Amino acid sequence: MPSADTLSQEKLRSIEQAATEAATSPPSTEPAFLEARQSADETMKRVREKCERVGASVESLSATVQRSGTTIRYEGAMSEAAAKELFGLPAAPTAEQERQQALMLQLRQLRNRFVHLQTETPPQTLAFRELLARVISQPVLPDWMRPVLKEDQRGQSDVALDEMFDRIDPMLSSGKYSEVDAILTAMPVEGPSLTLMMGLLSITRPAAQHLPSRQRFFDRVYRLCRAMRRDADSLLGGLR
Amino acid sequence: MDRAYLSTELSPTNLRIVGVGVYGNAKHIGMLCRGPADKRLRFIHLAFHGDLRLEDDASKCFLWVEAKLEDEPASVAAAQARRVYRRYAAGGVPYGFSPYTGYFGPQGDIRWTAPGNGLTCATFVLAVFDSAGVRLVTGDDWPTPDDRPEDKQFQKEMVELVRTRSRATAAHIRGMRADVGQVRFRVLEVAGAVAADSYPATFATAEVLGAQLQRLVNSGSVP
Repeated sequence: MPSADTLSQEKLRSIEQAATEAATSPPSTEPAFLEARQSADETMKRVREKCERVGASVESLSATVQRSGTTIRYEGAMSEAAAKELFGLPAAPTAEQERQQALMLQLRQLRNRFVHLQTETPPQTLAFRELLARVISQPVLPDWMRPVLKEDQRGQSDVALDEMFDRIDPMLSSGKYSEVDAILTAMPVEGPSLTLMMGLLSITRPAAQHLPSRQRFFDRVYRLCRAMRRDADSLLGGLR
Repeated sequence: MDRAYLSTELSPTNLRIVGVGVYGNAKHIGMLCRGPADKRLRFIHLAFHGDLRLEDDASKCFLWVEAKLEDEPASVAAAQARRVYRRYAAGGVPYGFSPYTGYFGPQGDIRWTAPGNGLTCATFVLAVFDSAGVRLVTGDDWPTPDDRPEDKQFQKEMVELVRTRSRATAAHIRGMRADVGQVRFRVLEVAGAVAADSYPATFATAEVLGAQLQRLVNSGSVP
C-alpha cells in the first residue's frame, strides 16, 4: 500500500505535467469560434472609425463572442448631429400612421378608465367590446366646457357660471335640447363645484321635460350632496 | 332682520353674494349682486316697460337686504340675475302683472302666456330667485287686489303710465288691462320675504317683516 505522502507527490507531478502541456500547446479553439472573434474585432474597428469620423467619443468598446451570437457594447457621447449622421433621421409618420396612433391613444385611455374591467374580462370577449363601444358612443363634454371647468377649479365659480350660461342659453333658445342633454350626460359630478352643478340644474330646469338625462344628473348631484353631508333637500329642492 | 341694513349705517358694498336693494321712497326694488370677475357691486332692476338696467352705482339703494342662502344657491341666483340682464338688456322685458306661476319657459325665455303679461320690479326679483331654484314667497296665500283695492288702483295707474310713457303696443296695453286684478307683490313685502329666515316666506311673514323694514326706513329718515 503506498503512503499518503507518496500519493500526493504523484498527484502533484501529474498536475504539473498537465499544466505544462496546456501552456505550451496551441489553444484548442474551434475554427468557427475564431472567425466570430475576428469578425467582432473587425466590427469594433469599424464602429470606432465611424464614431471618430462623426466626432463621437468612444469611452469603451467591447464585444462578447458566444456561440449564440456576438454582442457589441459601446459607451460614449455624441452630439445630435453626430447621432443623425450615424443612425439617420426617424421617418415622418404618414397620415394613416398618425390616425392609427391617435386611435391607439384613445383606446389606451379608454382601457385605463376600465382597467379593472379589463383585468376581469379579457378584451377579446364580446362583453368588453360592447362596453367599449358604449363608452366610445357616450356623449363627451364640448370643448368650451374645458375652460369653464378650469375657471371653476381655480375658484372662479362666478366666471364659470356666466360662461356656461352664455353657452347653454342660446342652445335652449334655439331648441337644441339634445346638445344640452348630452352635456347633462357627460358632466362629471366629482370635481366641479356644487355651485357649477347647481347652475347647470338651474338653467336646465325650465326645459326639464325636453331633457331626459336631467333627472339622472339631478340624482347624481343629490347623492353627492348627501355624501358631502349637506342638506340636499334644502339645496336642491327648488331645482328638481 | 339681521340681514337688512340702511345704507347710511352699512354700505351695500358690504353685500356678500346676493340680495335686494330698495329705493324711490320704498317704491322700487332690484337685485344686488357682484360682477363675476371684478366683484364690483351691481344693481339690476326692471326700471320700466322694456327697461331692464344694470347699474354700477348702488348708492341710491337706501335699504338693502342680504338673502339668507348658502353660498352655492346664492351664487347661482346672482349668476341668474346677470344672465337675465345679458339676455334681456335690449328691451325685452315688458312691464305687466303676470301671475306667479313660474316665469321662465323651456327655452330660457321669460314665459308670457298672454299679450300684456310682464313683470313688475318686485316680480322681476321673484323671477330671478325662482330661476335659481329659490322660491322666495308662497304666493298662493297673498291677498288679491279685490282684498286690497289700493293694489288694483296701483295697477290701473301703471297701465296708464306704460301707455303714455313707453312704446308699448296697443295689444300689450289691452293685455295689461286684462291682467289688472292679478295678485300684487309689493316692494317691501318682497324685501321682507328676502329678510325672512326661511323660504318660501308666507304672506304673514313677508307682511310683518315688510312693516319692520318700513319702520327701519322711517327711523333712518331716508326718502
